[in-house]
Amino acid sequence: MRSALKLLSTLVVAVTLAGAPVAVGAAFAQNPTQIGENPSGDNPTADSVNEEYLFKQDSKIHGRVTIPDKKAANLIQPQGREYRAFHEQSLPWIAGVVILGMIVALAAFLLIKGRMASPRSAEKITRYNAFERFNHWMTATCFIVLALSGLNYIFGKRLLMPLIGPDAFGAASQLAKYAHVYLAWPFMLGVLTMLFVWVKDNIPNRIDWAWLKAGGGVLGGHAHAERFNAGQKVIFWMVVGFGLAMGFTGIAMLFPFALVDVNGMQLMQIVHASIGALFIAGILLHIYTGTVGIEGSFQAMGSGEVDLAWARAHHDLWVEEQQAKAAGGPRLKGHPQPAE
Amino acid sequence: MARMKFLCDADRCIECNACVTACKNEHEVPWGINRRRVVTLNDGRPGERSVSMACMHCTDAPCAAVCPVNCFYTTADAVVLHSKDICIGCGYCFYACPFGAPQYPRVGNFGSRGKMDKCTYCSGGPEPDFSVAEYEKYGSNRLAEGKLPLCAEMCSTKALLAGDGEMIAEIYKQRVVKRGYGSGAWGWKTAYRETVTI
Amino acid sequence: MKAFLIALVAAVAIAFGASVVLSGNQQLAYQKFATSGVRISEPGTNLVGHKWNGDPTPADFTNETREKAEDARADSKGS
Repeated sequence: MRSALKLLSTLVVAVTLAGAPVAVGAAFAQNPTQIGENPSGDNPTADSVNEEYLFKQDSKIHGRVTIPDKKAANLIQPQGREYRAFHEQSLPWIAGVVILGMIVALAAFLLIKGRMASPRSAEKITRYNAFERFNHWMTATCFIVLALSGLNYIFGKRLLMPLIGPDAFGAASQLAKYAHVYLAWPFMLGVLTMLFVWVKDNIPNRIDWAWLKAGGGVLGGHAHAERFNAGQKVIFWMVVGFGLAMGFTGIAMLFPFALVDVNGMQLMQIVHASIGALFIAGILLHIYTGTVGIEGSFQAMGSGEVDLAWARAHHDLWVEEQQAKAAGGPRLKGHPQPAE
Repeated sequence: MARMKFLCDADRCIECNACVTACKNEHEVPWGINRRRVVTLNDGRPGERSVSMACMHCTDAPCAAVCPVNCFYTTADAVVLHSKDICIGCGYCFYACPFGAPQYPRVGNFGSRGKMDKCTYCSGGPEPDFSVAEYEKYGSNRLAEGKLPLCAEMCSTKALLAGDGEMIAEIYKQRVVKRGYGSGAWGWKTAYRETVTI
Repeated sequence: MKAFLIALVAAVAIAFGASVVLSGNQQLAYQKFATSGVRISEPGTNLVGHKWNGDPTPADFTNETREKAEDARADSKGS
């Protein structure tokens, strides 16, 4: 009797144990290699995961590794191929079209409309002080080097390498890489300084709207402007906005994997490159207006002094403000007016 | 000409790391650089899978495509190699590689991460075969001696197969038929745009 | 003009300062990715290579072939 019971209970246990993997196997049935091939389904190795199944769970396949470098736990990240496609196909086109397009547009504008004339006068007015000019030129020269070394990452192997050969190109690219990585810091410092020094003069207001509606006086007529007109405010906010974005993505790339994983790093690189191209186009416009585009403009950043007539023509409200300040006598610095 | 590939039979891999040790020893790979590694999926649970992963030497390699200084080249055996002299250590090849094969001697990306290092299919680099310079930079060149990569040779269960793609696919197919199951050739779809049909 | 020149000098100076600070922050892979069980040292001192003579500095780059490989090639050619 007892042995029969024992036999029965053993049978029950055995059947349950045999049945359980079938249930588990059914759960894993979406494993394609198993459908119809292993009917008893009691082999956990056979029922285990495969690539196709794992990709349905997550966009990356990752597991566990015993080495301290945890990036190695990623087994397959197919996003690498998409990153490659954007970097090699879309990005050169975007950058090329945006930058060359801007150059062509500026050249066409110069040929058709010509240089905007400005009145001259012997009398000058101070436009930018020494510190503003120093900061601007530090930022600007860094930008030029950053732009060229940055473009080298995209176009260098296509345009420069066939000219100078792979060894010279490799050495030049190494230098460009150091220049890019280290000059980025004075650039970021300069952009932040510009933000603090000029933000109060760059808040958009109604006068800017009127300036825009009048076409900035480019198509004839006159538009009022304060210290910075609407066009300049656009440039300011572009530099600050793009500068911060480039700085953030750049720093993320300088400390790889400190903030994000491999997919995040791909995104950082793509954003950095795309915004960089737009930034270059915008600065080309800025360089044009500040040099060739408008007569008498360069002096503002060059020597800091502009012709009073130039200032009246382009920034009339600012001139009035400055002259009112001068006429109002020496300003009391930090001494409050007496109570009565 | 043979088209060299790797195939890791995840149903046989026991995570012994002999492949990792063999590679590190043969090429004197420093600590911190992992040319080959074993990744374990579902660790500790029934149906635990281990896969040995290194550079897959892809067809149309994404690492080669994104390199800003074009330091990669593909040999006649379809092995993807690169030149450490031209490499600028920018790190783009790691972002593009679906398998995380590129490794760098330094962690920060300033002052260079150092020259990228990766599995060479035991076939060295652009330096002359068997030269000291080749060994110092890229490790030993077994392929030029007519030998297959040491990781596959040392695999204790013959899970990791290396050799001509068609031959190892055939071996794998026979195994799958014989034992009745197979989780597939891991990474082949991404690397070679083809799967091993059984 | 003065502002421009001082700006160039300042840019280079800040860049140089950044390089010093960042390089101080740089870590070698064999330091960052080593566990507490390993001895951290210059990897060249405890590896046995072809030309290891006890000197921790790596061998010179010459075009000398490795004897082992030469023999192997000779063997395979003979058979």
